[in-house]
Amino acid sequence: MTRKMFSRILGAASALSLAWAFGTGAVLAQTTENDPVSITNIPFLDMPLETASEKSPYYGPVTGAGAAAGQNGSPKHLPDSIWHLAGYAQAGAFITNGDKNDSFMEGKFSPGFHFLYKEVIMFEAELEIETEDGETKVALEYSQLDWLVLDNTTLIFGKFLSPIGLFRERLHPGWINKLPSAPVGFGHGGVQPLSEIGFQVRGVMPLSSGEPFESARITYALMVGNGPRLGHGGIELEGFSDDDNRNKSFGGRVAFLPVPYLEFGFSYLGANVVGPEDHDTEENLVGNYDLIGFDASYTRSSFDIRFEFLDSRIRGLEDEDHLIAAVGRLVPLSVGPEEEAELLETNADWRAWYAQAAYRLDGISDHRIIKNLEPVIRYGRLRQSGNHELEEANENQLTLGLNYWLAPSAALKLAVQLRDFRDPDRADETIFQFQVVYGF
Amino acid sequence: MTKKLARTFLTIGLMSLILASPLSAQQDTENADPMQLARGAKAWAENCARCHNLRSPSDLDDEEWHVSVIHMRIRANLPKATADDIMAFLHASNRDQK
Ligand code: HEC
Repeated sequence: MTRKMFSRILGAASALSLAWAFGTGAVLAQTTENDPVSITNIPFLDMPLETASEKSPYYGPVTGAGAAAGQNGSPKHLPDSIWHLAGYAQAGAFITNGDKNDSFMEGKFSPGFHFLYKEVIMFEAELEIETEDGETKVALEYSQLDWLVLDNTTLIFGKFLSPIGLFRERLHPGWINKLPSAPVGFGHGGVQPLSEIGFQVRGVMPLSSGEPFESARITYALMVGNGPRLGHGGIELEGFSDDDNRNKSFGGRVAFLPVPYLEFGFSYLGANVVGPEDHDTEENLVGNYDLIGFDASYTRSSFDIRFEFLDSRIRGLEDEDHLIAAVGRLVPLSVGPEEEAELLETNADWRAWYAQAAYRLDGISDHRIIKNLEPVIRYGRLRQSGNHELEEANENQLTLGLNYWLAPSAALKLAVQLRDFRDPDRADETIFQFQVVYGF
Repeated sequence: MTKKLARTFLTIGLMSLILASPLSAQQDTENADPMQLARGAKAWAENCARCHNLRSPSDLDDEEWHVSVIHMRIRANLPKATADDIMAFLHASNRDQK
């Protein structure tokens, strides 16, 4: 798909969404107060509705300015300020069959800390503690302050997971990801940006327009960040605290949900990138980076079906001194040490997509074991160009998995991954993957 | 092209903000609203299984649900009214006794 086409589709989609928004503007504010609720049998509720309502006197407490002015923003029986520990842990084994037979074990513990003050401020941070080859690495995954400034709008400051695409912000924790690995191009060193340091405004615009679209909405997450940087290891898409140029990165994701279980998202990220030396001089501006993305999800009953596409590029790397080698972060399983890395040609392109379908067998069986099984299939492609090393990583990847859910956030995951490298000199690989995950 | 896309984004963002603000004038209800729980149960089933499996209400206590639902309201861009309904449902159907 060409960029021109994409921008047209994006334009048309936003125009349609806006038309929908305005068309239904008149009925916007009416919530379902008097609507018949189609649910007659409420799961987990073993008492009459009236009794339950008394047990839970929770009727939309005051937020934003009201709460800041001292009105209570928490249900009566809860304190104003609460802290909470969450997160996840995962352990796994990966055995590779290919040119070089290889195996490694992973262990990862990601504690998340949440501090909530009324319904106004939330501070959330997550660490990533990882053991690899007997060494322990600690990283700050994100650390952000969320200000719930309006009912449907939140401002975020700090280091946050990149809102570009789906995988990073929503699917990467082991207990959420349906397979033991990230799709090709969507993990560390992939096409998808990992995190940003900056500012974000995000929220939702409900478009309730009667059955069956009473929950239709448009969501958005727009950000300004310090953006990607062209480092010795190629373009680096993780949040940096020092900005290397005066042009911030700008972008975000806008999504349309006609019904809660169907979502279409459009992402964009643009930034100028410069080489690591000689900050602050005009001549350093060596490239223009931009990324477009599209994603779609259908997640209803036992189905979880997703598609995600990202296309990014750098144009205009004119300054010879700054044609930096592009190994490392951008190339999954990077090849060779950095010193041997080749220079980028003037332009470079990175494109990745995957389609994934999972089906939980509780949809067809009540059997105590079978209902906990979930087969998964994912096919993905990575295509990059700019130098030989980038091209060497081009891959078609098929992963077949089977999960056994011990609890809603605990699973045993088994998978086989077939890696078909496009470079005729690179042998294909088969990886057997096993992982145990727990989200708490 | 880049600029055009950027402009599209900005426009959508601003429109969203404008459209979202009048909605924030959700009024607080004084009296118990049994329908809130029914709406909450439905919204919970529809919204909370979009990214991960649904966790049973009894997995967490009131305080934990309070934080997590607000966490999810931000992460999943849920309308506050929807998040409140879900919260009411979770508080009513877990085992927490106050
Ligand atoms: C947009 C995707 C998405 C939706 C929709 C979503 N969640 Fe989550 N949820 C996540 C992610 C991602 C995490 C992991 C957060 C982390 O570890 O940083 C999470 C974590 C959680 C946790 C673990 C504790 C915590 O706060 O991190 C609970 C409990 C939870 N979600 C409940 C819910 C409920 C209830 C709903 C419906 C209101 C919901 N989720 C809707 C993505 C989602």
